[in-house]
Parts: sequence; C-alpha cells; structure tokens
Amino acid sequence: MNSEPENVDQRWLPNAALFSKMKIVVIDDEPANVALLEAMLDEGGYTRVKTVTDSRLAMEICVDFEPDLVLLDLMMPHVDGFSILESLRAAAGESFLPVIVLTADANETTKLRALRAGATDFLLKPFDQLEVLLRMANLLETRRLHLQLDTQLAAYADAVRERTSELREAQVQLQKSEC
Amino acid sequence: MFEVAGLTGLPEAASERAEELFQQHRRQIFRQTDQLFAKLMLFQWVACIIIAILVSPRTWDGASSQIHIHVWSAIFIGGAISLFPVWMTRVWPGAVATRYVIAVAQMLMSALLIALTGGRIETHFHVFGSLVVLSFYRDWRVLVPATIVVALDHFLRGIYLPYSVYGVLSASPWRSVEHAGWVIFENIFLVISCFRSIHEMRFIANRTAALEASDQRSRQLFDDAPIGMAVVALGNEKFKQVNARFTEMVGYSDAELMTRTPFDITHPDDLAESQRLVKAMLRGTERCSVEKRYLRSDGGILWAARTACIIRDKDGKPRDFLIMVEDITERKHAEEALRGAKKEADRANQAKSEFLSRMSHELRTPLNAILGFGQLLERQNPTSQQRGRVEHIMSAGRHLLNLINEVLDLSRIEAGHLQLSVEPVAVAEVLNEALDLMRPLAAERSMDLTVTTEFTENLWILADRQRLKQVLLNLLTNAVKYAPVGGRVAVSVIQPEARKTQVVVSDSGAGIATEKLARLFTPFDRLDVEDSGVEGTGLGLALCQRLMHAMGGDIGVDSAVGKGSAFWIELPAADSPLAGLPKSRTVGAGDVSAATGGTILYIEDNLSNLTLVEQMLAEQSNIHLLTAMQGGLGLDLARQHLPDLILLDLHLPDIGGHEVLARLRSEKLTRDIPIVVISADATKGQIQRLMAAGVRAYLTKPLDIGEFFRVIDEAMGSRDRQLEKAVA
Amino acid sequence: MSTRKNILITALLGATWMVALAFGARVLFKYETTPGSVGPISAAWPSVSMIRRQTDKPTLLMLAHPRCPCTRASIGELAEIMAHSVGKVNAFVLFVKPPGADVTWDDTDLRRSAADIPGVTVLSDENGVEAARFGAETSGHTLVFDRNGTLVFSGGITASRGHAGPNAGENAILAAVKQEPIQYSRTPVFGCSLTKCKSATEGKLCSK
Repeated sequence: MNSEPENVDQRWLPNAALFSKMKIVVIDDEPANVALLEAMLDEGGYTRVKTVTDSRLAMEICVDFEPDLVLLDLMMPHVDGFSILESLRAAAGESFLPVIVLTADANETTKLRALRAGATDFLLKPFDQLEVLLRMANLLETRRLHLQLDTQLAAYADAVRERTSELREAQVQLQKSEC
Repeated sequence: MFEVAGLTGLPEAASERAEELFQQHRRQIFRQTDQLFAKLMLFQWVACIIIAILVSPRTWDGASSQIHIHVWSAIFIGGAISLFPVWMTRVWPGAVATRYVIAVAQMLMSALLIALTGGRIETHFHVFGSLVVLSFYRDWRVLVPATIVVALDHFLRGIYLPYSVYGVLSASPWRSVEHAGWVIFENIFLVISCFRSIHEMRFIANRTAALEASDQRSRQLFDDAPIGMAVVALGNEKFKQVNARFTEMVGYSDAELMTRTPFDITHPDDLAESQRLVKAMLRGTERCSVEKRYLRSDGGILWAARTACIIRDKDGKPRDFLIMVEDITERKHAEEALRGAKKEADRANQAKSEFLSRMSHELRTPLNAILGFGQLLERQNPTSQQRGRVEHIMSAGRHLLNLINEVLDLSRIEAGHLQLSVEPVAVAEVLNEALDLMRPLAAERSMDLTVTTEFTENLWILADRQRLKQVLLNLLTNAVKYAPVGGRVAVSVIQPEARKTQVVVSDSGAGIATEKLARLFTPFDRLDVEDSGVEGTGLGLALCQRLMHAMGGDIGVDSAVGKGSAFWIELPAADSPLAGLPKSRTVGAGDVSAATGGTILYIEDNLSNLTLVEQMLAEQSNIHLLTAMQGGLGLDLARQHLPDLILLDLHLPDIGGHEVLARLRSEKLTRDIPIVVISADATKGQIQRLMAAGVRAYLTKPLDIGEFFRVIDEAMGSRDRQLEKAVA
Repeated sequence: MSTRKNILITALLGATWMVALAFGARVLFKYETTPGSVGPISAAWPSVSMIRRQTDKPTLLMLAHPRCPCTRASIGELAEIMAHSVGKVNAFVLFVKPPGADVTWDDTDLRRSAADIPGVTVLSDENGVEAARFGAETSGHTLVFDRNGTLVFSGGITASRGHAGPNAGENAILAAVKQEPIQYSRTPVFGCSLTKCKSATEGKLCSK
C-alpha cells in the first residue's frame, strides 16, 4: 500500500543548487535523529545547517543564526516543541519562517495543535527522506518569494517616498512661482 | 338444643362458616328476644296487679267487702305465669324450651288480662300484640303453642262454659271461632314474616361469610406477601398496619413502627424526594414508584424499590397510603459493583489507549533512525550484498511501522475515537481506485485480477469513503498475497437484498479450514501462516471487521480448503445524491450574482460530490472551479492560485480536512481566503469548533442547492468588499 | 350450663309451673263460673213494689250492688241491650244500699255509668227492700216483665262472673223485648252478693 517511489536517485536533490545557501536549524533531543537529519541534509546539498539537542538553547541559536527553515521535534525534555513554535512565531513577526514539525506522536490532536501553534508542515516519524526534502524545497521556494516580495515592496516604498518628496518639492516650487 | 330444623326452602349455606354465622345470628336473636320477654313478663305482671287493683279492688257482700279475688289472681297467678319464663331466660337463654315456655306464658298472660278486665274486647289486642312480639323470635314454631293456648282459652270460655251451663252450644261459640280465625289469619302473615327474616339472615350470613373469606384472603395476601407492605394513615402519617416482611426488612417491631412515620425511617438524603412524592400524591397522583433508602433499626441501609398508592374510602376520599417495598439492596450493591467494574474497565481501556499511543511514539522514534539510516545506506552505492541486507532492514522496519499503525487504528476504533463520515459513495469509483492501486502488485505476482460482475456506475452505498477503500485494499492485498503465483482474484458486486450491496473478493488460494474461520477476525491470529513467508500483521481483517461494523455494515467469508476463499463486505444501499439535481437550472434566486465572479477551489475526495458541485456551477460562466481530491494537492492549488473561495470537505485521504484548514489559516498567503466547510457531520459541537477556527460557513451533506448558492454568494461578496477596502 | 341437674330442675319447675297454673286457672275459672244465689222469684210484678211499672212496654229491672266490680260487665251488657231496644222497654237499675250506709255510699262510678245509659232509670234501693221483693240476691240480677207484669226472664246477663260478651241472658232479653220466643228464660247470675247473708251463695233463703 505504501507505494515506495522507485529509482529514487534519478529525482534526488531537485533544486539543490537553488537552496544550498539557505540556513537550516534542526531541533531534536534524540542524537540519532539529529545525526540522521544531518546526513540527509548533507546529501540534499544543504551546507548551512545547525543542530540543537538541548531545547533550552534552541531559541538563542535561532535568534543568532536567523535560519530560513526550522526542522522541529515536539516531544523534548525541558522545553517542548510547542513553546518553541510559539517563540519562533513571535520572533519571526511578519516575515515568513517555515517550520516543519517532525514527531513520532501519531495523535491527530497533536498534529492539529502543532499546526495551530504555527507549524507550517507536519511530518510523522519515521519519515520518508525524499518527502522531507521535497517539502523543505517547496517551503524554501515560498520563503524565497516572500523575501523577494518584501525586497520589492521596500524598493517600491523607497521609490514612492522619493517620488512623493519630488512631488512635494515640485508643489512648493509651483506655489512659489504662483506668488 | 339450638338446632334449627325444617328450614326447607332456604338457600343452601354457602359454607360452613355461613351456617355458623347464621346460627350465631339466630342465637343472638333468640337471646335478645328472651331478654325482651323477660322484661315484658315482669312489666305485665305489675300491670296486671295494677289493673286488678284499679278495676276490681274488692269484692262485695252487701255492705261488707274483701279483697277481690282478681287482685290475688293478679299477684299469684300473674307471678306464677311470669316468673318461671323469666327464670328460664336466665338459666336457658336462647333455648327452644325457653321460648316455648315464654310463648305459653305470654298467651296465658293474655288470658289472665282478659279475665281481669272482664273480657273486654279491647283486651284481645293483647293477644295479637303478643303474637307479633313472639314473632320477634323469627321462629314460626313458637306461634304454635301460643295459638293453642289462645284457642284453648277461647274454647273454654266460649264453648265449654256455655255448654256446661246450658247443656247445648249457645249462639256465641262462633264468636270464639271467629276470634281463633283472626288469630290464624295473623299467624299466616307472621309465619311468612318469619320465613322472610330467616331468608334474609341466611343471605346476610352468606354475604358476611364471603366478605370474611375475601377479607381473610386480603389479609393473608398482606401478611404473607413476599414484599414488605404497610398501610400509613393520611392524617398523622404514622404506620397503621405492617406485614411481617416489612418489619423484617426495616428491623423494627410492629409496635415500634406504629409510633413512627415512614419519614422517620427514611434515609436523610432521600427525605426531600419522599416528601415531594407524598405531596404529589395528595395532589392527585394515584401511584408512584421510587428507589429509595430506608434506615434499618440496626443503623444499616435498606435500598428499596417503593411503590405507594392511595387507598380511598367509599366516597373516594383519600384515607390511607399503601406502601409496597421490595428489598433491592443486593441489586443496588451489584449495580454499584458493576458501575465500579465498568469505571475500572473504562479506566483500564483508557490506560491501554494511552499506553498504545505512548508505545507508538516510543517505537516510532528508534524506527525513524532505522528506516532513515537504511535509506541513506541505500543511496550510498552499496554492493549487491549490502543492498540485500539494507533491504532486509528496510522491509522489517516498514513491517514494524505497519504493525504500529494498525494497532493504533484498532485501539482507536475500540476506544470509539475513530471519526467516520458516512455518506453515499459510488461503489464503482472506490473499487476502481482500489483495483488501480493493486494492479502493480498483482502484475508482480502474475495474477489475474478481474472484475467478474459488470457493476453500474449508479450503484451507491452508505459508507465512509476512506475507510471503505482501506477495507477493500486490505481484502484485495490479502487475496493477492495469499493466493499462489499465477492465481486468480475476482471481484464482484451483488445485491442480495433490495437495500443492501455486497462486494465479494474471491481468490483461487488454498482456502481456509472451516474450524479456522472463526479465528479469522481475531487480532494477531494469523491462522498459522507465519511459516508461509507471507508478510502480515494479523491485524488487517480484525481492523476491517471493526471498520465495517462502525460503518453499519458487515464482513464475512465463505471458504473451503482447496477451493479458495470469498471475502464479502456488505453495506446498506443509498440513493444517488445526483438524482435530485435538476438537469438545467433556470436563472433565479439561487444564482451567484453577476458581480461576484472568481475562482473557487473545492477540496473533496468523493467524486460524486465533486461532480455535483461541478454540475451546479457549470452554468456560472464567471466562476472558475478548481478541484482537488487530496488535501495536499488542495493546499498546493490554494497556494498557487489563491482562489476567492475554498470549499473544503473534512474527510480527505492524505491530510485531514482539519489539518488543511489549520494550514490554510496559518499561512500568510492563504490566511484571508474564505473557507466553507462541506461535511456530512452536522453535530453542533463540530460546527461551533469549526466556526471558532475561522470557517466562514458550514454546509451539511446532502447539499441544499439554494443554501449552497446563498453561502457562496455571501462568502465571495464579503471577499470582494474586503479587497475593495484593502485597495482603498 | 346445660347440665343434667339443670335440665332436671327445669323439668321439675316446668311441671310445677304447669300444675300451679292449672290450679290457678281452675280457681279463677271456678270463681268466674260460680253463679250467685237467687231468691224466691215471683212470676208476676209484685204489687208492693214502689216502682211504678208502666204497661205500655215491657219493664226491665236490674238489681245491682253499687260497688261490685263484676257488675260493671252487667251494666255494659245492659247498655248493649238498651242500644238495641230503646223506646221498647222501660228499664230500671236499682242500686242496693245496705242499712246504715251513708248517702254517698251508692254514689259510685258504676251508678253513674248506669245512669248514662239512655232509657234507663237509676234508683236507690234502701236496705235492699226492692231486691228482696223481687227475689234478687246477687248483683246484676235482671228481671223482665211483659206489659201485663208477667215475668218473662230472670237471670244474669253475663256469661261468667264479670265477663263481658255475648251470653244467653242478653239474647233472651232482646228476644223478650222483640216479643220473640225466648230460648233460656232463666240464666245464672254472676256478681257480688247484694246482702250480707253468707248463705246466699249456697242458694238458701236469707232473711233480713
């Protein structure tokens, strides 16, 4: 029933080149999982990856590192994934920061709770690596578009401001000439 | 001595008791009448003396006189006549002899009176009066000696005396005969009256005996009833009468209860309710039953099923309460124990679910590493030997994952947490999807996968689409897996009854022995096929069975060793939801107004629903409809096209509707798109939760077309206004 | 209670009772049925009588003791007779007054009731002179003479002593008044003795 995609290698690493510079943070208390994700991201071509196994340090690192995407486990000692999610959302503000929750908790309610708390996507462990990478690529693409939009908006705003001041100046000139 | 013989013509005594009562009554009357006569005799004696003194005090002899013989007669003869009967009434009250003596004496008294008054005709009234008083005995026989005495008296005076003087009968004897005639005339009526009285007495005796018997029966019923019974007076509300069982139940004695009211022995917690019920009964409730507690005299608690009713007097006025009490203490204890056991079982069940949930989590975490590193290894150009080993790891890992998923599913169903959306589903659609998924595996095993019955597109059943597909896939997978390579799997759809549809999956496998069939749906029982090398959790069929039952259907198998197996599922038939859709709609109130046009995204896995909405919007040229049959696809389409409205079904194959909703609301791009949920689940709680989660509107299946257009129009209109505002 | 002894006592008492009653009855009966004495009766109206006999009708004469209770019945019967023969007979009741008796001696209830009978003349017979003339010695003795003064009836008009009711004497008088044949012209007289003479009861002559 779980139809496993054949010939994975052919379609492996879809946009590796495009997102290789994107910064990824992995937050998981299980070292084996962290190691697995590191290996997977490495294979996926991501070069700027930071991992955290102590959830208490997670926010600090995120603030410092300014990631483009976060891979987050939910069930962790000390600080759980839900509070980190909320903190991330609060810190990110208006900007689009994709957070993929990876958890072994198969409860439907957990999933909804995570999404409600601001998770962009939700994947159940054990996960399919290709799926994770594909979803990451999609979200990073969205992130890229967002950033582009923000930049353009900023540029437009500058242009408008410039134009406004020009207009105001012209108006002043006009008033002066009228007098 | 007292027997009453010769009462022929009277009704037979109803019973010995009736006879006894009758005789008792007679004796009583005899005695009473005896007493009456005793007094009458003495009175008459005195009266005689007074009359004698008044009428003829002295007898004269010229100028000299002496006391008249009448006075002496009155004193001595009168005394003689009356004293003996009076003595008889003292010594033999009620005896036959007594009343005969009285009868004779009374008539002699008449004779004496007549003599004393000089034969005054008026004195003859005494004779008639005496006969009447004698008939008070209600014994006609006492009239006989009385009559004889009268007759003799008259004979002596009227016939014998003249004859003795004159030697022949004078003309007057006929007057004596006439007198006797009148006496007999009176006697006839007195005898009739006696017989009537006796008849009435018999009747009363029979009635009394019957009443006594009935009363006795009632009393016995009351006394010997196996339930506690008590009569409570309405006035002071104290016990009036209780039976043995009641005293035994409450532990108080009869006497102790008589000074108490039922409230005194009611458990304080039940007191208010009891008082309320009593008031209700006084207001007109004829009967009420309640389960309440009584306090026993030893301080114990008696749980009782108590029924009370009002006893009324013959005018219909409430007089007493009748209380019937049944001891249900044991039942209550059993109930409590049962409740406790159920609570315990529920708790255990809850614990089991939690345990399974946690186990699932704990198992998934290491499994993630196993499968994850396995995948990595697979991609690191392993040697063929290594590749084989990694495949083993991966296969075992996936099997384990399946197992975990199925166990979790099973526990969810058993805990009742499984959410189903039962709606009309086209059999052909689901079956084709399942068959398409199975074809690669069948091809791999060179098996012939055929549909033997041509089923029509219009065959609809009531089911949860996802779960039905899951069951079908399970059955098909089993058939393909367990049948030998090159075998044959056939699927057919039949309708055994008018409103039922069956899907039968038969294979050319080894078949299952009859004795094993019963174990087929038991979790983890793989019917000893562990050695066959076929992978399986042993949970599939158990899960299928529970799913089918949850959907209101059934599952079964017909099989024989060597002849293959035929698994069937059965579900109630449904009407096509497309049937009610008009072919061509006229433009009217239901239309989306011209101003509101745009893109609508409909995320729905049920093709029939999709078709329905497609047809409904087909004539709306200004509306562009996008459809997605999976949640993931729907999300992608939403992000790409940013539609003006999203119609969302809650039951989707990959990502659930709730999740899709949550994701749409969490993303900045899609956050403001109005969402209308379309679901078969119309519970109020569900609707409220969704509205709180930001859903614009909620439509229930089957869709009401007017409502559908109204909601769409409203949702899209508000979107337009919002945009206008944003632009402004 | 119903012991043998009691039954015996009752039986004995009962027997005694019956005997006593029989005896009593007999005494009473005998008293009632024993007629009084009758003196020498003249067959015609005694000329020496002070009573004026009228010849247009038969004459009835009763001699009575004013205080005899038994005579009440005789007066009652007389009233009966008079009721049947008013205007057909001249009736006299003579109340005998013994010697030495005062004026009020014979003013009795009996006398008044006799006087109340229509057609009856009540007279006092001082010292029983008239009674002796007519030969009456017992109260209630009644004599009937025809228009010619011939005695047609003599005797009592009660069946027994002091006993009201139909009797032969009454029938005889009524017949005499109607001038029909008389069945019994002599009947026994029941009543008190008019004179002190004790021998009167024995039927002997009793001289003053």
